[in-house]
Order: sequence, then structure tokens, then C-alpha cells
Amino acid sequence: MSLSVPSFVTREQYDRTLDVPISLPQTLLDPGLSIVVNAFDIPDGATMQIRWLCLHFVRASTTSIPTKINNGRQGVSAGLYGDSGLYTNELPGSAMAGVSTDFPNTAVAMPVSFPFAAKSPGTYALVVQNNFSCRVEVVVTASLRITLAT
Amino acid sequence: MSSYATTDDLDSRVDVAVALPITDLPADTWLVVSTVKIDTPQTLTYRLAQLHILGAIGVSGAQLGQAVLPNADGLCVFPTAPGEVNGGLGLCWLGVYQGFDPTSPPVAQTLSEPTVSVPYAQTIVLPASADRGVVPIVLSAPGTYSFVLYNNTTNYTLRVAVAGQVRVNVA
Repeated sequence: MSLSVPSFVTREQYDRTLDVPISLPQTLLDPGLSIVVNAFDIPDGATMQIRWLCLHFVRASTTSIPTKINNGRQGVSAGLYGDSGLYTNELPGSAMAGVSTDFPNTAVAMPVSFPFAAKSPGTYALVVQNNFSCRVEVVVTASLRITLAT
Repeated sequence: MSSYATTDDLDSRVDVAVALPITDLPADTWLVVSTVKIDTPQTLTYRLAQLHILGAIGVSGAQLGQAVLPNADGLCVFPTAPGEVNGGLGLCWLGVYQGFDPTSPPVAQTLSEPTVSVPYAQTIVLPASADRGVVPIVLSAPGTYSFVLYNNTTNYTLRVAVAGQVRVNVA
């Protein structure tokens, strides 16, 4: 939410505001696998805000309690990573922001409870990862807002 | 009544995609295209959804692995009539479910809104499309809403794509 005093939206403000949808329909992730759902550049002077990030852990390939590859992490997570070196096919480092879950359900981050904005120019990536030793099926639904410089 | 939008209005609206790139969906299977979870007093406005069947591939008998191709008239005739898993519900549908249960078939669960469905036919023109029109509905009950795509045929893999959008008002 904006902390400034509400005012009318001008055409110029509206034109500078880009809402970028991110959608990963139900996808099977192998054990330990991370995939880049989306990657994007933030140009100089622009800001980027995660407006919505919803991770739906639909089901796992095992009916027993799955074991984790790295016990220090949640089982399934989706997060935003900066700098292109941080995302690979292996488990990446800590996310700048994200959501995670150990059980089949839905984890969500939204503007009211979870404001996150990036102002530094560079490349960012939204990555979903499976830290379980079994295969999982996940859905990621997100929306980013990029506000271009005047 | 018309009025001007404020910065708070703009900040409180989040447009979320309900989108599926071209995907081969096997017979009698489903997949979750998108999931949105809302809490009180948030609302979810569902306006746009389009479902396209871009191709079909037989999965049994003489049609095993064979694509259904347009004939000289541009019509795609299924060599064998598509079997319906659930009669009268079309070839393929997109439904929105609150609290979707992956252990239960979609047809056994309660829809939050009528499906977007490609009607049953043995002869179709590709792409065969269906859309829900532009009249929005507003879902306000807190919960998790999933948009689920289902191939209602018993003997064809359907090559499908979905384009849609929902708007969350985060109040």
C-alpha cells in the first residue's frame, strides 16, 4: 500500500505503471530441482514491487512423509533472487523475499502483509524449488509491479 | 457512477494471470492452471477466461499417437467419436473451485462459477474455443480458489491453452 496521501491518478502515472503477470501452471518438480519461473531486468530509476506471490503445493509423489534434502529449508518454496549468479539448477541461496511450505497447501504473500520493493537496477528472478527427496507438483501465481522512472 | 481513480485505488488492485501455454493434457486428467488465496475483506473479480483446443492426439486403437488434422474443408473430424468421462460436460473445461481437493476428481467437487467449456462434437474447427464473456463475478468468501482445467475425453490427448485474468482487491 502506498504510504503517501492518496491523490488522483494521472495518465502519466498510469502509463508508467506496469503490472507483470507471472504464471507457472501445475508443474512436476524433480527432487532438489529449482526452476526459474521468470527473470527480468529493472532499469535505472525504476522500482519493482512484488504485488502478489502465491505458491500452491498441490501434491507429492509419495503418500508417506517426504524427507528433505536440506533440513534447514522448507520443503517447497518460491522466492525472488537478485543477481544472475544466484539461480542455477541447484538449490539457490537465500531469497530476497518469498513464501514456502512443508505441506500440500497454499502459501501466499500479498501487499498488505508482505510489502517488498526493489529499487536497485539489475536482473531479478523468481525461482521455485523442491527441497524434498520426492517429486512434487506446484503452481506459482504472481504479479509484479514495475514503476518506470519519470 | 463514474469517478476518478486514486493512487489508493491503483495500489489496492492486483491483476493476476490465469494462463497456460500450449500443453498436452492427457485424457481424463486435470491440472491446476492458477491459484489465488484471499482473506477477509479481500475480493476476487473474475471476468476474463478463454480456453482453446489447438489439437488432439489419439491414445488408443488405430488412432494411437495420431494427430487429428484438418481436412480439405478445414474441419477436424475425430476418427473415433470422443468418449466423454462425464456426459454432457463437453470436451474440455476450465472451472474455478474453492478449496480444490487434488484427491478427488473435479466433477465431484463444487464449482464457484459455471465452467468455461468447449462443447462436445465429433467435428470441430481448430482452434476450438470457449470463453466466459465479460460479465464479472465477485468472489468474496475467504479461501483458496483454484482454476482447474480438465480433459473430459476418454480417448484423446488434447492440446490446450488458456488465457485469462482475475483481479484481486486487497482493500
